[in-house]
Amino acid sequence: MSHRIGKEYLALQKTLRDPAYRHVLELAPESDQDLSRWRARIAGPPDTPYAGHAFTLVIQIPSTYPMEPPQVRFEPRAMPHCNVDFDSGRICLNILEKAHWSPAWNVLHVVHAVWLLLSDPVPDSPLDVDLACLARAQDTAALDGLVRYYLAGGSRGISSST
Amino acid sequence: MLSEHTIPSDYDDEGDEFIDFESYYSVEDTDLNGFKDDSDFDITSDMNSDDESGSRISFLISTQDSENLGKKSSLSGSEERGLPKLNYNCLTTDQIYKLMLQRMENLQPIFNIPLEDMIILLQRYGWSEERLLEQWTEDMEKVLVASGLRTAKHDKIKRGIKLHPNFMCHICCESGEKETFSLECAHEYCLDCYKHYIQDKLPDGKIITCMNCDLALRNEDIDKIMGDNSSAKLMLSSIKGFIQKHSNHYKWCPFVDCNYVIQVGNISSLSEFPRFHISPYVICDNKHKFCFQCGLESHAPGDCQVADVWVKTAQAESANLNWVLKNTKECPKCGVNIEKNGGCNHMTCKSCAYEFCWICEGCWKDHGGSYYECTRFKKEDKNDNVESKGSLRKYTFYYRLFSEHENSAKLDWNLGQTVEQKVRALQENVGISWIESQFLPESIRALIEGRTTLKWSFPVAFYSDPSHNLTKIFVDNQFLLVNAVEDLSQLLQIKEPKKIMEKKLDFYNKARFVKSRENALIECGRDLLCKGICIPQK
Repeated sequence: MSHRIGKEYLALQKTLRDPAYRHVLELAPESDQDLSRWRARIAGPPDTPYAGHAFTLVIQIPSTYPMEPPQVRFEPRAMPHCNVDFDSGRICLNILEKAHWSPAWNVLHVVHAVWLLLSDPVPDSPLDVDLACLARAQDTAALDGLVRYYLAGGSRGISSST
Repeated sequence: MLSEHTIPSDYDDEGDEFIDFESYYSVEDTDLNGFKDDSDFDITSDMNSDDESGSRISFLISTQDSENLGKKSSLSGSEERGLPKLNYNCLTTDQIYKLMLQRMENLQPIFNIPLEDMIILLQRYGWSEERLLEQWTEDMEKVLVASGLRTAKHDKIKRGIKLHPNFMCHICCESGEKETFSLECAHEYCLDCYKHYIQDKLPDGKIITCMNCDLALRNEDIDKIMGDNSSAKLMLSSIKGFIQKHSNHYKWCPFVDCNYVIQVGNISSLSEFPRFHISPYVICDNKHKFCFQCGLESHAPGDCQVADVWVKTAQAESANLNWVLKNTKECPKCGVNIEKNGGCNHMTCKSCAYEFCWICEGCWKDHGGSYYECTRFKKEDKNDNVESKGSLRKYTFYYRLFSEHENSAKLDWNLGQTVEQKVRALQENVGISWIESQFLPESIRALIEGRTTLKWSFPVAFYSDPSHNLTKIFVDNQFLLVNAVEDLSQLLQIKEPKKIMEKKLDFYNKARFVKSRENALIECGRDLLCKGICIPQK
């Protein structure tokens, strides 16, 4: 199946120029020799506390791709978000699970879906309970403030999920 | 020859005047000596012949097909009059599937869609016909679209396999002359990719949809793509779903590798059993006896409550199951054990699709805004009740006996395998007919059943008041059954076909003796329960 990931890599050179994917700053394998390890950089969506920041995604392509989904996570302790485990960077997103994945999707779809998650948190499936509580209570001022504080390097201490 | 089994006479002196010793000790001993004719003897005596029972419940046949199936009624361990009875059928998965198809055919006139689509609808609705009908009458179009039977847009593309001289598949990114498949949605991919995709999805047992939208593949599509009858695999999980949905009426045989299903048409008599401290035992066509109430193997002389409490205690004691208890939780709805290996607390049971909160085990939907509190909520350890050393030692003693007999029963299964060879040897070497050699497998069955009863008599003894006279009698009865079982087990070790034939009468007698001792023990155990001397508690 490495054929497919190669094609995707080639096609990306063109698609990334599309203004619709302006927020994907970078999406490429770590090295041209090994197409199973990718890195992406996405811009924080406008009108969110993430705006003005860039985030790195670590992507692992399984050998069974595209029959199985790629594994995607943020860098550890870099993304305060109610669907992301702050300490490990793990993401709770349904299309990243095998049962919900479809081979018709590609790496760019996945990165785009993660980007959409930033502006559209799902507090019903929380990995970060503290932030989800605020999102659930629709206390956007507190939520945004807390996220901005963490992004600016504010101390997070020990994660609540342990 | 059987004098060793007669009852020690000193019991008459110590007797409790309220207890009828005769009924426990004089069980059919006379029969053994007066035993003459082979044809008299039938271990698997047909309970249907006992038609005089007043509480016999007539069986409702739900389909025409099941009329051809052998009807049975449960062995209640005793044939006393007035005890409830259960009538049941033993079905294969094929028969269940036929039954499901028949139910579908009955429903089809209401829906007026092809049978293939009916299967998908019922799969989607977990074989809950009521729920499907309800939503169907509410909004038919919505049900069709949600179940993947119709696309939102109506393209008139025919589904099926096509051959393209030059096709670029968007999944594998390979191009050339290719066979492809698409549904009416026109999402077309090469056949190889579809094969991989279906192969991956089959074990989930869910409806397989187009790779790019929600349109569902029919069974015939799956079979066409895979080139075999792979959809049968999908249907097997449907059968499981159907049985789970209708678990009041259907139960799988719990024995390993046994795929029979017991069907009970009229379940109204089930509630009668606990009152008499007996269990509704059923026997599948592989001669596996199990309890239709709790789904465990035959656990006489204990009733379902004894078995339940005992099994739970045993589990709590076992290190392995300790791990399960520590690291898994039972799905609050279907009871399947679930291990959480990551992700958030929003759990979805793979078996029944129930969504719940890992922390408090409540329904996720009803959770409201309070579920974040769950992470801070710590369950109190239930293990703080300190058991006195004495009771623990007592438990360990009984548990050791229980598991010893469990192990012996497993060895007896192996013995059963060699018995089959012995039967064949008898037929070939000594020239005995098949029917004449049946005493061997019948003996082994008596042995295994005897051991199972023995095994489950230890929990009853454990929960019984040791100072009571009836408990003492029960323990004596246990001892007698142990001897009877060991005797029969010895006999079954004989290997030379000639010697086996010489001892034929011995086989009959000892097997019959096991059976009668077993019945006596079961009756005695039931009395312990009925009189409140045996009280199962944690």
